[in-house]
Amino acid sequence: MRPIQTLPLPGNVISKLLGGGFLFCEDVFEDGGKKIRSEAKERLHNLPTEVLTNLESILDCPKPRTAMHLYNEEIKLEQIVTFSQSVDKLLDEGITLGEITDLSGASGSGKTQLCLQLCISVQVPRILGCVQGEAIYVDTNSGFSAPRLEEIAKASYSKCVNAIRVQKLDMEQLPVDHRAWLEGIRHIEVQSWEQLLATIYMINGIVKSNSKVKLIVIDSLNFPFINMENTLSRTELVCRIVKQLQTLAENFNVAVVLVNQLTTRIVKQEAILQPALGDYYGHIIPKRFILACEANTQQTHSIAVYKSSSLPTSSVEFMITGNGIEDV
Amino acid sequence: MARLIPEINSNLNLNIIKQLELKNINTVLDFLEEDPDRLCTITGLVYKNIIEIRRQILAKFSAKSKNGLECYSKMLIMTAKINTGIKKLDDLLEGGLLTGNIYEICGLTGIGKTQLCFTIASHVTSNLKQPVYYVDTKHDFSSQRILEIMRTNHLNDMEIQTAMENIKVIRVKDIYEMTTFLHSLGSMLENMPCRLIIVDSITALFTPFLNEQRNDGLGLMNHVAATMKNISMTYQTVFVTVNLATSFIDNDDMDAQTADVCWYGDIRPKMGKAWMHMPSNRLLMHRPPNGPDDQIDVTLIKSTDLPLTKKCLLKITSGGMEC
Repeated sequence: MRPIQTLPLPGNVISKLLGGGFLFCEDVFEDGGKKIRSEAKERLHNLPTEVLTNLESILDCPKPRTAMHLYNEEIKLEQIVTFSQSVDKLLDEGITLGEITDLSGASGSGKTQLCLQLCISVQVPRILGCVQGEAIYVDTNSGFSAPRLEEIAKASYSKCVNAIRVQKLDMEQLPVDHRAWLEGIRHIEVQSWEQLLATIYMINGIVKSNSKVKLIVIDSLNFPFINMENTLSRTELVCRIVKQLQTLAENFNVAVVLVNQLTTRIVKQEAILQPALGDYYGHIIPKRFILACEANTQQTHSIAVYKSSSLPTSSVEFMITGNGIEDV
Repeated sequence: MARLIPEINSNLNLNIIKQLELKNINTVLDFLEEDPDRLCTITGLVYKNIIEIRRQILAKFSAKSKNGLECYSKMLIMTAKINTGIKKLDDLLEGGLLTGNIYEICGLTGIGKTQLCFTIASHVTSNLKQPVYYVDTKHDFSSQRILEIMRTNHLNDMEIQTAMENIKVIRVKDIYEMTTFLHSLGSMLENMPCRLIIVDSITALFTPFLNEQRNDGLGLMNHVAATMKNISMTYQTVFVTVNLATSFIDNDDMDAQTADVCWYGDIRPKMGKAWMHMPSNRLLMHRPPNGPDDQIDVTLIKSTDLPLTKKCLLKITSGGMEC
């Protein structure tokens, strides 16, 4: 028997039911949870009707799906390419739609550059095997640079023109010039964690009404929380944001990229660098990649798989040039 | 069923229940605790009927007793050890996972907890040909990885397909859905017997309650644990749960001050002290500081029936966790 306290109901509904002797779900529902008993309906009759309609579906159990079924869904998922073949290979074809990806790295490691590149890449037309969508860029630490974006867009545009010419495809699929790609990016500047929470709700609305949005970037997720002293409430809020974005990503087939900085943690009197936002956050995100700046003359950057349930650990190097992200 | 309803006894009609409700006697427990004489005056039933109702309530709602021999022979028929397919781990567990138990795999992020779950799930469905329920709370079940593990272990396409049909994945959003799933699991297991349920991870369900002042989260967590224990005993299944471990020491975190719950100096499972007691067996995954990068130490740090601190060295390969 399941106590009614374990149902996601407001406190007043629960105490109302308990007061009437409805201690278990079996007292409230009949037919194995499909119908509400008339006694229970009577007990709740002076509460708003939403309570009852909400109650009707409260015992719906998520349906089991076989791994085979999920496999057939997984192979249909599309990816956003990065314009660097080696990075794409490491990411397993690119950033996957419908999933959350965490990019962690120290400052100057190329996180924002990669994100700007993704905002452009997401708009590359379908004939080139890309998703042809739009992007939302949530900027929390004012790292967004419009001139740089224009530069990347220009370079990526000419690469696309070449590709279409070489493959003799329809040039009409491409917008007349690269500026159209800048229009496909919504830049949202966020100053505090309260604003960030509100923005997530707003994004929910945007994505619901505009199915073209295929990429959401939050650069960076940890920045608005930097001054928060209570680490537990920070973790709770961050986990809530991740849960909301997870639902959003899954329901609307959108890629979510969360940028995260590194922080110093003292372990056994030694300072080590670790991705920020703590263990719980690291646990609930399905994929994490670490970016770094390599100490060599060519000024290359590297990206490594830090956590993934499907990819093996490996790392590759890439370069940040005037054209965006490129192979070494 | 705790409320008084007409189905309990023919004398207990709706009218009488109304009368009792007015006197605040709603549940069977209220009825049993009330003085029979007073019940006579409230309901207008004769004393004999009241006693009859009481007896029926007791027969219907109290726990039933079984004799020891019955329990023992049932145990002999029902219990099983499910081997994990990883030789060293099976040696450590003296054969495999024992039914009727909750196991916990804990370790730092990215250590390979999910990979161990994938390996066990692949082995049980492909080699033992048994179905597995896989509760995915973090949305990172990867069937492509499962396929890779099975391919590397030289299964043909037919075998892989049957095995993958046998992994039933349930994506659970929050602890309420988890509770609903556990409560419908009983009837699911009756339709399709299954001995292994993997919950990856239990910690993710607990995150919304990290900072709350009331103890709702703890209550829900205890209910989940109690339901899992109940199911594992009734249907003789194994629950494998995944929990996060941490090495972070926060000033507010009192657990960290007690060194007896830490391993390798400062690593300890998350979710607090109450949860520490819930799983009957706990495996800690840890990367030895001086060993090669791909090597993972698995240590048994809590067990009801096996000697502790036995360990084995595993590594992650394309075929899953191996010795």
